[in-house]
Amino acid sequence: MSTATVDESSPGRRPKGSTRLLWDRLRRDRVAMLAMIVLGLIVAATLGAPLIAAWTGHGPNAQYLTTGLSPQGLPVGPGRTFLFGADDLGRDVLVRIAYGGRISLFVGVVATGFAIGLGVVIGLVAGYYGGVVDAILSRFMDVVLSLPFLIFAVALIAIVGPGLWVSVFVIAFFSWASVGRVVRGQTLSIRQREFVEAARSIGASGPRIMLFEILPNVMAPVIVYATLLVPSAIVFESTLDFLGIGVTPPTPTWGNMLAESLNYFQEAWWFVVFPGAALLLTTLAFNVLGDAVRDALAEGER
Amino acid sequence: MSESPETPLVQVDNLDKHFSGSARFMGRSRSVLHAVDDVSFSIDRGETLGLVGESGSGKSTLARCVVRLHHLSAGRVLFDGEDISTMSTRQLRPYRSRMQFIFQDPFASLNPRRRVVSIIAEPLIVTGGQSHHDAHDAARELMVRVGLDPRHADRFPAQFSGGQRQRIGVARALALRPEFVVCDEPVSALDISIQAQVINLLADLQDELGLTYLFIAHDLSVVRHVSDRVAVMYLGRLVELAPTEDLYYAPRHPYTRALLDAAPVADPDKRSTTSVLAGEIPSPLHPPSGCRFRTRCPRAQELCAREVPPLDPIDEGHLVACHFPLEAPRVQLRSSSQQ
Repeated sequence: MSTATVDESSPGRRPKGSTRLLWDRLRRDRVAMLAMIVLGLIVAATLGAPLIAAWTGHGPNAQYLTTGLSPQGLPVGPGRTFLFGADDLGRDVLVRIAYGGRISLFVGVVATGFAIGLGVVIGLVAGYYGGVVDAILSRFMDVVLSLPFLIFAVALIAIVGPGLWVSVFVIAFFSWASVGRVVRGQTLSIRQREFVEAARSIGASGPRIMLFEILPNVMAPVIVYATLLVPSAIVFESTLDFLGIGVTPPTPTWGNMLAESLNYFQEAWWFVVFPGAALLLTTLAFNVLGDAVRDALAEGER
Repeated sequence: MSESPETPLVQVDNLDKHFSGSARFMGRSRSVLHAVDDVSFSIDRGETLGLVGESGSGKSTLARCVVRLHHLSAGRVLFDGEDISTMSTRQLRPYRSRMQFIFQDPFASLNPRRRVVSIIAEPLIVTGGQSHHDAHDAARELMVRVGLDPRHADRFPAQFSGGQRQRIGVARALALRPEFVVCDEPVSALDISIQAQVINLLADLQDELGLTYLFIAHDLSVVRHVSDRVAVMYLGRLVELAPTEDLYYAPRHPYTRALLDAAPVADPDKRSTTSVLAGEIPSPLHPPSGCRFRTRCPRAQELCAREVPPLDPIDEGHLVACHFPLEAPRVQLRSSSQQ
């Protein structure tokens, strides 16, 4: 009972956790902040796609044959009514980019989430248990990593048919193994540390040790990997769309907009430049952020 | 706990621990490291058994085998009369709370990414089955008990000094109210000034909680201070086991004698009968035949290379493994150091 008074006085100055320290360091990095602002704007634009549509008065899939196309049937360039110009079917490129970004970001983040989750679990199990389990899982990761992505993606989608979730799972399936390898390697070394032995000496189970002792110590490379996986997943998704095996038209995505622009970009440059710029800017911002996170974590080794 | 008081709390019978090295190319010459070889001893309730030896003599391996952090290669360990040497992880769980381990390195043995309160509370949640909230409350009380400020409960291990970290390790080991605690060189990594504090803390806790210790150290003065009996280990074998004062006043094994002589003495006039130990400790991959100490022993003879000396009683409660033990001093200094 005598300790009750002391108990309540502690929360006042709770020391910062590692996540908080990471954030503090990132805030001092100007390039990282710029990347985050860019990403913030892109996310805002995609989430606010209906607002953009309402403001321009153009729906994402609606064709504006009189205002969007010239009397000769050619798409009009950027101007007062179509800020980023119109496409060959008289649709508003700006509105379509905003809607398309939703799919790119969704696939990028969700596929990365699955890939990280699977990679972390498999990597932890392989690294912690070792032996036969490790041998089987490691060889499996090697196999996945050696599969040529595009050929298998094309073949797989030819069988199950295209779709948003198919894209997500295909991308996640081809991304998790590299995460798994990194986590396995880290786990192998951390499992030798004395605090893991200490956890065993108090009777902690394997899963609990993996979750509470090892996982917090492998999070740093995982976070870096996550921020670098998102842009690559976005590019993968756009690639699938570009090849016509991802999200199917008329639903706009950055990838299928680029694909449609192929026949017209010599006359209508806006048709390729704006979706391409959106894709470039997003992946660049994620990559810059990933590098900054890596630097911040390296600085804060403790 | 229902066992009769005569049953030793911990009994080790002929314990072997071998590590097989990686098989060489084409499986030729697979090397086996004999870390612990044919070791037997027992520890009574409330007793402290000191275990000394050079680095690499197998002290830590032996300790880890006793609490089943390692599998045994042969032999058995009885805890409170129960054979725990072949139990599975699941069967061991009830025993985990009764025997605990304090690690040598207070830096490596605490997870750098967990807050101190959750490190101490972990055994209460995992094995004690307490709720998160109760365990954290209990952890704060434990911090008080080992002399830490509970207001620092939310800090990370890196924010503590070495001595404070070792107190965290002690608190974690005591959380489950164990009967038996292995202290694996608990003060070797600490500054001299801090060592005494931690040792006194361990002694106080032993008095309060009736703990039984297996106390490992390579510092003879520390072991002498805390132990009722002392076991001396050389290259995986016990060479001498005796009540503390007997061992220090009348060592019977040449190795023990050499160890005691090598320890620095505060009195400059006392350094007269120094028997300096020649050479290095041999590799446990290829231990010498017969008595393992013979390669460095001044008294070694042909018999020592041929036969392993058994650990036999030479005096009351005094065991020694030597074909040609040292003479006991003429003036016997008997002291009953059993408490």
